[in-house]
Amino acid sequence: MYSYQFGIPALDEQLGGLVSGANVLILAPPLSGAERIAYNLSFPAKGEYCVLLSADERAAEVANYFKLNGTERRSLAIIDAITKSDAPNVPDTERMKFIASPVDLTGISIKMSKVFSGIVDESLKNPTPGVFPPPIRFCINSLSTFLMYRKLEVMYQFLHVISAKLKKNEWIGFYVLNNESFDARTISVIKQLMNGVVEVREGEKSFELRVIGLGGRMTPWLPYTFDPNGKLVVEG
Amino acid sequence: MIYTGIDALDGLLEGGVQDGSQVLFAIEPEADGQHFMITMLHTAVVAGKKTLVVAPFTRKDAYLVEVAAQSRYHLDCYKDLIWYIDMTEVETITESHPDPEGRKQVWIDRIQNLVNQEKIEVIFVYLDLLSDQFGFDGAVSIFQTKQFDHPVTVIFEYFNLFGTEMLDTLIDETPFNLVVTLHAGSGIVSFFNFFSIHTVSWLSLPSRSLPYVATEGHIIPYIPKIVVTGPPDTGKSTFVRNVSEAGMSVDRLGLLGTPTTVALDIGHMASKGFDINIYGTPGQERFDPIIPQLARNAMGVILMVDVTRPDLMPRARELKGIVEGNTVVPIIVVANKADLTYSVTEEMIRSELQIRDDTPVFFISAIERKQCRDVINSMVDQITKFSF
Repeated sequence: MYSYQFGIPALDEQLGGLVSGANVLILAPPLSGAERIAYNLSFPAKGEYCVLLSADERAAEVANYFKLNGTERRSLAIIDAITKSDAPNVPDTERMKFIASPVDLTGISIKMSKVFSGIVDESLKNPTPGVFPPPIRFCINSLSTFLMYRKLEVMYQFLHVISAKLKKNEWIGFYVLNNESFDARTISVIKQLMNGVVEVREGEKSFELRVIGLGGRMTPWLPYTFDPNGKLVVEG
Repeated sequence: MIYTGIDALDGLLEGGVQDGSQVLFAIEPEADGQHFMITMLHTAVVAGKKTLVVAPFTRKDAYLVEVAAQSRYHLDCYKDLIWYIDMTEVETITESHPDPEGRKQVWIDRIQNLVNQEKIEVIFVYLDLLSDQFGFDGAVSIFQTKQFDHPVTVIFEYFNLFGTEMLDTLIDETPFNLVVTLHAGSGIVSFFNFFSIHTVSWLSLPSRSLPYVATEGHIIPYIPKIVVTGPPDTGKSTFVRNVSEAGMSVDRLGLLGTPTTVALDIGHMASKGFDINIYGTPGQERFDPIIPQLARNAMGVILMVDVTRPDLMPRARELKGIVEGNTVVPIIVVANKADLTYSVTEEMIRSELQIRDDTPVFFISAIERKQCRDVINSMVDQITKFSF
């Protein structure tokens, strides 16, 4: 079974990485840089891929962020659900797909399927074979936006389909959710689909995070910052 | 009548969709099924029908670009025939009427006025967001055809995340004239799509899963495997070659100086809107171990017998058992070499092969191309229309 690393030394030392098939919720207040935490956890290691569904940030900005932090272009695929509403003519490419709006879950489902197929096909043609199926980190930024457009029951079912697919293929998923915009029931419903939660709170000097679940363990609250390139630095 | 624009589907529906019908395309996760409604929209406007597109998930210009990119259909050429209710109008209605009941009435009035004033004949509705707002039955009821002063056909697309059982419940409560479900067969990735005619009110059709590929913006239904089997020298390779646009055989010269198949015959053809692959098996007993592999997942079996060789009937029955295995697939018996002198009758064939009364038996000559193609046409009907 393939083993994923957080890529954050403090977390890897404490937790020893992530089990494949894990779905992790990043539950954070506004302005805490939750999307940056999600991106950092989604940075693909060598031989891995990242597939990112973005309803909050344009594909070009996301791609730039990943590039600044050393992600190779072929290792990143983005499904962008915002750019097309302003720029309807933006064309799809192999690694960047554009959806009219976060409402269009049908379009998202089809284009996600095409992106996953493209990555798996490419890995089969790779002259130096690696792990099969190729390890993929999937990320949604953010569930908060999707929940503003679609009903909770629909999003639950949509996430259920996605998380089951990730588990089946030993991929991992990160999902950003703003913990101040939704009631306890919404958060608890979404948590049902998760194996772990990265909780974020405002500490005395900076924001702090802790990881709960993922094998029944819990880290202490760990202060974090971002370096000039946006790389997550966790103390501890 | 409105054509779906997909020949095989129009064929199954005996021409297309009747005017005034309510049609549902239910797309399951990962199924590449949006082309069904887009193809039908394009077919309707090409036929000069006035249409309304209700697309709450997108803006009109983005929708037109997406359709052109995916399906190569440039709907902006038909701007005099298509009216749109897009995300902008949906947001305006939602913001100005926070109460769902009041909002629903606004929707009903808006649709009724637009359709009656402009004499719109077909409405295409992307149902998902309306279903979130008003429930599935509530959203469909906005488009009830009885509120219009002329016959209107309504086509709905719905992303069915809740599985077939939930769909059955929804359809029980809200009947449609035609329900087509679109599925993806997936392993690590989705590797093929298939559609099923779940309900059709004007015909009696069994529910069948029929694969399709969505390529270059077109839906091409296909039958991945029809197997042709039978005793040696009954004309299987000739049959496969003659029905195919491009057929090939893996064979060698047999003891009699004629070629005998030692692996398989492969043929490809189109019939009734389906792309079809045809696989011929070897007939000699020494190849029996590979026949179950060749026959695996076949959608139909053509069993060939030689009408001049009644002594080979037991071998034909044996092969029938091998290809059928434990599965139930439609079978057609082809009694070949009927252009020669022969004594075998249909009754003898039915009795020797122990086939059902409704299994067709065709007396043909496999060197006659048209007769071979008639057999395949009948096989397509057996696969798609008849119980077996």
